Amino acid sequence: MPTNSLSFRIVVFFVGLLAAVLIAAFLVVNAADLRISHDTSAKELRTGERIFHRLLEQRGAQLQQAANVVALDFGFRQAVATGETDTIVSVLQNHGSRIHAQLVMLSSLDNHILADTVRPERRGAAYPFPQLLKQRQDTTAPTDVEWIDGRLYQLVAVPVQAPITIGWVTMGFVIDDNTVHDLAELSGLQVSLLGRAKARWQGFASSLPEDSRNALADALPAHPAVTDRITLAGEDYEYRLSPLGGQEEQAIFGLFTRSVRESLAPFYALQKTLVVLAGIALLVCLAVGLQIARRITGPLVALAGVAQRIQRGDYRQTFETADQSEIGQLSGSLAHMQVAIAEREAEISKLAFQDTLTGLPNRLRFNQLLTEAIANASRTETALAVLLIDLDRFQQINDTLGHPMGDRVLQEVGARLREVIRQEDVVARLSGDEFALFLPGAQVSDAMHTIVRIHHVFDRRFELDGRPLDLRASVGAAGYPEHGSDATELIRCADLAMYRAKRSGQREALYDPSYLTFRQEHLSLLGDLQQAVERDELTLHFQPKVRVANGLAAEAEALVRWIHPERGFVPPSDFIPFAEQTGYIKEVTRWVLAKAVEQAGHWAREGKPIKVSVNLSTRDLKDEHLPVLVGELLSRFELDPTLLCLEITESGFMEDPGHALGILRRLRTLGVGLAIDDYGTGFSSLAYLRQLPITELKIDRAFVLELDHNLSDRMIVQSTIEMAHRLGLKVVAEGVESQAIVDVLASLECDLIQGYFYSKPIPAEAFRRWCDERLAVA
Amino acid sequence: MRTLILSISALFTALPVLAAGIDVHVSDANGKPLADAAVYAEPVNGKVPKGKLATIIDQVDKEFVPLVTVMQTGTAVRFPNKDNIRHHVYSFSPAKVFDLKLYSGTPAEPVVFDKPGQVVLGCNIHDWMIAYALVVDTPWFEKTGADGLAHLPELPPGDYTLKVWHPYQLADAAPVRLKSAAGAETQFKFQIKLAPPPARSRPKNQGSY
Repeated sequence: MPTNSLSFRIVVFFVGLLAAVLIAAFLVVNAADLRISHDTSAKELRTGERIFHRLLEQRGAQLQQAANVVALDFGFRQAVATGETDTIVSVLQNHGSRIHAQLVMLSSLDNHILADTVRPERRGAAYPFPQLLKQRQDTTAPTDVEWIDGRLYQLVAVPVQAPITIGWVTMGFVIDDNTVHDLAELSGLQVSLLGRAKARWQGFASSLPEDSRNALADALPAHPAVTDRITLAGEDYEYRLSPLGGQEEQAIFGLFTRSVRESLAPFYALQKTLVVLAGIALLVCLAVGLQIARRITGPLVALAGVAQRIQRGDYRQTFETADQSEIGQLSGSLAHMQVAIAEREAEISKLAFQDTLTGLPNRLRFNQLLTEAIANASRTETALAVLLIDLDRFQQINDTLGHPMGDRVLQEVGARLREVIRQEDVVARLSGDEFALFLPGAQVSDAMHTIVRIHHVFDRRFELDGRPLDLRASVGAAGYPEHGSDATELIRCADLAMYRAKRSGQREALYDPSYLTFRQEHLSLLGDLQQAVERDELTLHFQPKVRVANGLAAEAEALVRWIHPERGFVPPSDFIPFAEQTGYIKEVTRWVLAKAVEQAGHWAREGKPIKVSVNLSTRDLKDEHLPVLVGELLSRFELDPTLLCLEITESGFMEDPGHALGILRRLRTLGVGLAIDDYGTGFSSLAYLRQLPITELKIDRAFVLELDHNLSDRMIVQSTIEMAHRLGLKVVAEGVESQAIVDVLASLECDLIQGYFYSKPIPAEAFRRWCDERLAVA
Repeated sequence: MRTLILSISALFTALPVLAAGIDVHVSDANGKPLADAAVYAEPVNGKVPKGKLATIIDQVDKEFVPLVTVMQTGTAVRFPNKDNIRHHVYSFSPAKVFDLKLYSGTPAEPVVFDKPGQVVLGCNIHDWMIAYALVVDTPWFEKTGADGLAHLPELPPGDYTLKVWHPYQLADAAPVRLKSAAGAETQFKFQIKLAPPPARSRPKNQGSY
């Protein structure tokens, strides 16, 4: 059981509580018992002492009576009264032995020894126990404990009456261990009899064990307290000292002792019982606590296990919900929660892995599936093809028909793609108008069949609310294992291929490893480009815009040219798109603007004003500072605003039309001309363009290239020019490469013509000369 | 205990010897007349005539009667038992040791007290029964009465030693020399210091004997 578990805490709490109570009870009982034991012991000692004294008195009285009977015996009296010393001693011995007196002494009324059975030679000496006889006259049962010849006697004295008292017979009864043992048995205590002479103790009799009694004389202080404790031979005793008799210089004491160990024995027994009971109680508490804890935490542990399995994503747990307790409620809640989580997770994963618009897997899901498929292909050593499909000009559909319509187009595309793929293929919508496919088991070369089928999807015309719509798509393809070993890599390769296709105007492209190195080249180029801007390595070229009316070039488009110190000429298509991607295009635009305005100002001051056009990128249209910059440049180089034109693309404008519109209006306010570049590639209607503050339309070269023999292009260009003129816009045609086309454009009343037919972009000096030559020709 | 020695003073006054004999007055230390004191006169030359050499010490109601008996050496004493129970009279006194085993009535032979001195008599079965006898070598003796007076008959002329004795006395009283002659003193006074009489506890219920 881990120490931080609930069970452990419950058990520890209950067992700890009980243990605390038991310990407290134990201490209290202990203290009380010790006190009681001590009190009891003291009381027992007192009682024992009293009993002992009483017993001694009784014994004295009995001895006295016995002695009296002996003393009154006629023969005894006769012998004592009339006999000579030897006779008297023998009669004393004889009659004394009748009552087991070990000492019999006859003394005269004037306290001299007349006869002594123990030491006859004491005859004539002073009687040693005068206080006994004195006592004899006061009480009826005189008795005394005396110490003579190293032995302890209980003494009684009786008169010898013949018939008047002629002397005293003193009888002594030895008090030895046996006597003491009898008395001790009756009093319930250990009794020792001691004498003290000259502050030295002498033991006479004792019921104590041998070693304790031997230690007694030395252990006892000269003048001990009445009650105290003493240690004899390692054993503790409580004692009570009681004077028994004797004289000043030979005092006799009774020492009543009780072994502390013995008096505490019942207490220790109780203590032991208590400890055993406490142990049992603790064990029971432990067992019950464990049981209760298990009953409480068992379901909790089960629920925790269930919750953990739910956490791991297993939502098919079954619950015991019959229990109505809190745990039952918890279990019920968990069951509901499990269902709710399962539902929500299904919803979330749907959202996470599914494209809501088309119902196809999204990019995330596609990556997952592709990763699995790659793993599978790796295992089975089979191939796999990845296709990336990007709709062309989808932005224009969105812009012109609105997003709801665009969404329907995407749904339709998704549905059609699903129809043309095999069972094992996976189609997904990655983002916007971008779809992806992977074909398990297919070599990238085999993917062509699928690509063709995909193109057929778009060949069928789309019908939206009865409105026909033509769509085209660019497809890039990459293959496993030759192009990459993971999903990210394969998708990137397919993406590159798709862009290559789109840029090259092809409908599909297979990935080629050179694309990647090409790209990496661009990255290094970008670094160089920054240096180029800083070191002024860029130059401006100007391509004339020739006025159809007089064949003169009054306008020109400024185009950046980069002569790389090592690579030589770098075409704009190699660095402008990537400069756009990285945002560095802003620096390039600023540089171009500054140079172009400077050049235009220069020409204007020379008296030969040329209207210069500068391309703005998508990013430039987000630059709030741009109008201010343009204004500054105009005033710095003293250029008439009408001599500057800024060209924007439809798509560049469409990314954030609201913002871009604000920027354009501010630019227009400066008096600068604004042109829509590459008109016709997007989907912007003229009606839409009408809202923009533009002054010019530049028709995309795609419509111009075959203008001389393509009638539909001609129709488009013609209607565009007509409509533009009606909107008050000038029209410029790009990519003009032949006189025939110039003629067509002229017939269509196009305002300006730009193209290699007149001149490629050329340096400012060359342009100046070219103009002068044109002028000279004209 | 020996330290307690009471002075005994005999006071005598010179009185003319009367033909009627000698009067002796004995009192205790407090001057109270002392009964049962023996008064006797011993001739200095030691020659004495024999007096009446027989007497009786009765035992009546478990007591000796009289308490004190004075007799001349050689007196035969009878111990008649007037009680209906037996007595066992004895003496351990050096002057006369004897015992009369349990008897009733009067024993056949009297006991002859043939040495002078004090004799304490007891009964072996009645401890409280005590009698005192003083055996003197003179026929001239007498016991004081309740008035403390004793009267000795007229003595033959000569020198005498007048002595007084009491069983409870602490010490012998100093004897007095007297001359039996006309005109000699005949009045004597003695004062004796006494010890308390010995405890003679007699059972209360006599009927049980």
